[in-house]
Amino acid sequence: MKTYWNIYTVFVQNGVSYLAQYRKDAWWNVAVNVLWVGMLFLIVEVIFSQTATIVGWKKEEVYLLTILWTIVSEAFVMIFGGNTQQIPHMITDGDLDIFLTKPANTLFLVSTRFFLFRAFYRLLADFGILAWIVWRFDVGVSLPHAVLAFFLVVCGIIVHFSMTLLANTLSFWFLRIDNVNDTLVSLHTLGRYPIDVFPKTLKILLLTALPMAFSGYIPVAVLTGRWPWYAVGYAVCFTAAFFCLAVRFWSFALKRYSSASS
Amino acid sequence: MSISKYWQLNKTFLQRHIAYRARVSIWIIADVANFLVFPFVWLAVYGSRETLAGYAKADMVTYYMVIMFISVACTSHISRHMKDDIIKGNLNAILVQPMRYLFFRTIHEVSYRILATGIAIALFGAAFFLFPAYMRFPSSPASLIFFLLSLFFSFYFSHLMQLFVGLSSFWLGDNTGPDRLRHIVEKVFSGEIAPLVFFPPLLQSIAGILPFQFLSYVPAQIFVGQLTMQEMRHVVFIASMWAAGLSVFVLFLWRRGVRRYDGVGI
Repeated sequence: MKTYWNIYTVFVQNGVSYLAQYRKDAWWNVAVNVLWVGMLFLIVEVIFSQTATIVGWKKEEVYLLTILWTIVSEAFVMIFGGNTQQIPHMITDGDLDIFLTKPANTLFLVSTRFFLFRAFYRLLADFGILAWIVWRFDVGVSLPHAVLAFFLVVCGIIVHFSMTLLANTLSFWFLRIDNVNDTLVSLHTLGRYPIDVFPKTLKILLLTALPMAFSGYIPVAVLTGRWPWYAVGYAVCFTAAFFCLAVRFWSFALKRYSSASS
Repeated sequence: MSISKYWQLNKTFLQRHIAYRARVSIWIIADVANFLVFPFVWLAVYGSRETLAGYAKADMVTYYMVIMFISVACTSHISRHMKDDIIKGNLNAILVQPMRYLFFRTIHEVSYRILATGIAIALFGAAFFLFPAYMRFPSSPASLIFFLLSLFFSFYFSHLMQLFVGLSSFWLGDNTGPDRLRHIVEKVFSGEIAPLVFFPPLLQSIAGILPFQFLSYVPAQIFVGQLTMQEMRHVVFIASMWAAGLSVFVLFLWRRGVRRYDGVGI
């Protein structure tokens, strides 16, 4: 465990070095991210200019949903985003070979080697916006609910990682499918809205096979008392099972990797 | 300028796109998924009401279906390729060939759009077939003609915006930042997230001045019959003026940029 911690520390240090090299780009990214969140809030404003509630959700709750979804997305990008998306290129070009020869878990190296530090700054900005929402709308949240929501946000990040890993592992069979990540980004936006607006089938899909609801809906549903506390059990079990499935699929695929270069 | 070589180039690109069918299909899913949510959200907003700001439920669903069609068939994605050409030096190989770079990249994009348009028509037709109560068709042949014209402008403006971002690589190198900014500005002011009539008055005024409305809002408005004949003629005239002005500016940037280009990899 200590070895992996040491390796990860080096990855984070590399991320800091990268950031130091492209400082202007990092600030540019923070500014654009604030604009992006502003655009998401504009969507909320436009919708709520026509109604007081949407499927029982009030404006401040949808704001909360939007920012928690953004935090899950940004945390995923910071830890895994720059890595898992590279898997199709690694497989197509044969770059995966070098990781197979290292005396460490291949999946760990492949999915964490590049820590995107600029996303950390963006994440800080997102937490600032979250604090502003809580203050602006006077969102009354109890400490146990807040702790539970934070825990579910972590589950959301793990589910997001697992889904991305599953999709990218398909590139062991299909060539040039790196754009599957753009599709995931598009599908992921479904988790930014109260899933009660969707037909039942789609709603079930978003809680199971296409688990986008874990990124924002479930934490906020628990936070606002829409989901009972025991539903958290489902979220935790699903997260563990989905993560195991993704890792096992990766291991299965890796066994049939025959290398493209060496 | 020989047309035949560009025609041959178009056929070559088209064959390449067809060879990677899985990739094309994944792009289509990405484009469609972006707009899947909005009709459901708006239908929930309508509740028991029949109209919102002059939009009936069918108008609103059709609005997003048209935007989905435009996203699949008429939205250019050329800037990433241009960035690679410029910062990796791939441009060298194209500059020494007897063809114009901007035409080369435009044909690359057009060949993909030809393929995507076929798929978009099939998807649009499926939406009409599956949800007839929520879909509507232009009320007159003239509206349909203006709609087709507006689709041309939609592609042209989308392509111009991509060219701007792509050419910025001559000065900036990595154009990820400008590209994200373009993405946000386009999403807000093109009416992609909602019809502009639902926006706050200030944003409506800004959107009315900028050319981004021609990307999605104008074609969708024409399709759902929200514009009169006179308004349609007016927007086509304004779009033509913008198209001419921006085209000249793109050529200007290309000439200035290529002078700065130092040909990495020679």
